[in-house]
Amino acid sequence: MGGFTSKDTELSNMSNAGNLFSTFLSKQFNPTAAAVAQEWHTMFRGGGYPQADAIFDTGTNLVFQSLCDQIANAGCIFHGGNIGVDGDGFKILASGLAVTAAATVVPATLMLVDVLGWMRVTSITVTSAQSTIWGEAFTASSSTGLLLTYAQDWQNFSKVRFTTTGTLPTGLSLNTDYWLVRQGATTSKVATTYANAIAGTVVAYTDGGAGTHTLTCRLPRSSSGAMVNAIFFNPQSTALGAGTPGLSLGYTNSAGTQSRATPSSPSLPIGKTAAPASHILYSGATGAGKFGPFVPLQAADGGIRSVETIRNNATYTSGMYSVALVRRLAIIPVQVLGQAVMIDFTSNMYPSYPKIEDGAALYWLLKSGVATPANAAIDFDLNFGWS
Amino acid sequence: MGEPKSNADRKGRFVGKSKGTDQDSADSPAVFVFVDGEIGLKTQAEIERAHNEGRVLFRSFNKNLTVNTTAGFAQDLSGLPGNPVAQYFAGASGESTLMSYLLNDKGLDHGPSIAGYRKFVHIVDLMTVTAALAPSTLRLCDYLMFYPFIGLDEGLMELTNSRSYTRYEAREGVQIALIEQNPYAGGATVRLGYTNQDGVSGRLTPIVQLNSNLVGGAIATSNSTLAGASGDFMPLQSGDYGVQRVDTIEFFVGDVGTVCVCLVKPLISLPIYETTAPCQYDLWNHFGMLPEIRNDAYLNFIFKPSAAGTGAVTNTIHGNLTTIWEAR
Repeated sequence: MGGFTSKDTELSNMSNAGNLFSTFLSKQFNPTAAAVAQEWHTMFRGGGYPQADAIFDTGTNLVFQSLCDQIANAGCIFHGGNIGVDGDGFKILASGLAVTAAATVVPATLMLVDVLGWMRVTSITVTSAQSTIWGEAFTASSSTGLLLTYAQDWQNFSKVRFTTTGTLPTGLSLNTDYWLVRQGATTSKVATTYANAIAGTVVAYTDGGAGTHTLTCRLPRSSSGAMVNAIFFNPQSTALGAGTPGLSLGYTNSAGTQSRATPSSPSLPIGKTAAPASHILYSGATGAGKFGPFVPLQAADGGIRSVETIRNNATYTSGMYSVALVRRLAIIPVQVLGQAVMIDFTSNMYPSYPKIEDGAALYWLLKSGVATPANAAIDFDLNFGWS
Repeated sequence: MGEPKSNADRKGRFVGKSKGTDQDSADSPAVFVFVDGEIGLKTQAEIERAHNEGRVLFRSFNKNLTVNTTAGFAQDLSGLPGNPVAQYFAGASGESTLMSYLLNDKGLDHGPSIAGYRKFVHIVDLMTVTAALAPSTLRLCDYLMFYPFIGLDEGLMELTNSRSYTRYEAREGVQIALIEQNPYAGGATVRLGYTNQDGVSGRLTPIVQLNSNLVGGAIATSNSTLAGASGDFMPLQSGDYGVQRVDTIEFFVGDVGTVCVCLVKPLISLPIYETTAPCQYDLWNHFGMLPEIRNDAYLNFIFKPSAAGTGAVTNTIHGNLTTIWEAR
């Protein structure tokens, strides 16, 4: 469900059947610093509607944190709820519009992304590759359902799979997706679908199995990693300290090939010294190591399934950065002050039918054509349809 | 969160006196048999057929910007002169008051109610010859219900919900617009308590900074550069995307003046690019959809200019609204 087979089925669904949801919002650029022309910034922490995020600078160092639109304080763009009975359906983005009346914002480019998860890096003075944490051992017990106990604080609704040295607890199977229903900082129950997780319908406790059990996070959407890219950005309101490190990832690609690496030729992405809030660290106008907005991938890779290591090869003197895994959905150029740009993503203009999966955490990235002022507002509409 | 509300839920079998085939359904009384799947604007050919068969209504409007406008500050056009006639959010202070086309408020003419059939916006024309009014953006909204004449005194105020709106399910994206009624000085901060799309009460908006636009009808939360402003609508708590009702309003920094809390269903945003180029939008071709107009909808615009302008009765936005509806 979700897609259309013809223009007539699109019309029939989006207008006749009313399978249409529209957002009419206004988002501000980051609150503390203006952008330099040709830099990319996230609009996660900007104010407006939706409100600023309060999550991307939280969490344990290097631990993967899954993200969906149900997470409190995520500040993502709402898109009308889930379509699939199990929370596994999708909508398409039919059309969009963006406009600003804030002086010196145009020209700019907005990129709509689904943020799948992130890893915060606070150990910024470590210059070797640092291993990320996507899973760990757990014990199983009973507490009005099967209760998992572990050490890390995994995000609510994280999508996971289980392995064991012995036998998994009854109700859990190998090579099967489950969703955590967070109970506390080190405990979760388990649901068999995303929809069940939201509803609080969890796996019953029968036994704890045998052996050592391990949970491993998967990307909550686009789980194969196809079309998934990474960004390094400053997630907090204060600037990073001095430093111009080369930034790189060790990752598993969307085909499942491990030990892939950010290419170092012609240059690793190089972080900006004293990068301000929201800045995508290696983006900018000139100089070696400028990319944007995504970290380049090893040749022929189509996306990132998981990240195993993160490295800054020189120190930042203070602050933190986060690495987010995102899927690009759409681009809307903002061209002239006050003149809205409309894009039809279904037919003549840009027929890409961007896929909005259930639970998608939608945000804007913005490339500044000029020195975008702090708090500059951009109004936008997004129109979603489904079958 | 659950699944979105689908209009398909409202379809079905309407039992009545006839299943007519005449084409002038706009002035026909209401009740007839409607079998799900037999009718509807389901194909591009049926859009053409609606026009060919006369299931189409063309109406013009003109609104006069008699108030000063400021770049990036949104303005409600329902209270300004012109056609349709102005309305002033009159009602008991802080009490829910319904808005409708037939009841008394009028709004943009979209024709009579057609029970059991659905009506859609197909084409909108917009133009202005006033330099200060272009470029600009107009958001076409269905105004559902409002809580008028709320003072900006510091503290928490309970609102009275004696009525509930009926045209939309809350989960279809109903939003809150805060509209200036009696001018304030500026700088107030406010938070609303509301019941969300799923009927969960006790939801809270973030604290929002109001602008200093001293004009009746200004959208109090809009400003293109003000930290803490939120645009045309009050932002909702994380995870929410619709509002059933507003329960409380709390000012943390107070002010003089009064505001109106208005629940609106935004339908489509449309730009005016320049004074020399009238704009015409075929919503199917430009946006890939036909927004539905519910029976008895009160339609009007929220307007946002990108330049400052001095109010004058000659500052006019002209336009036409073309609606089509299903066959019998």
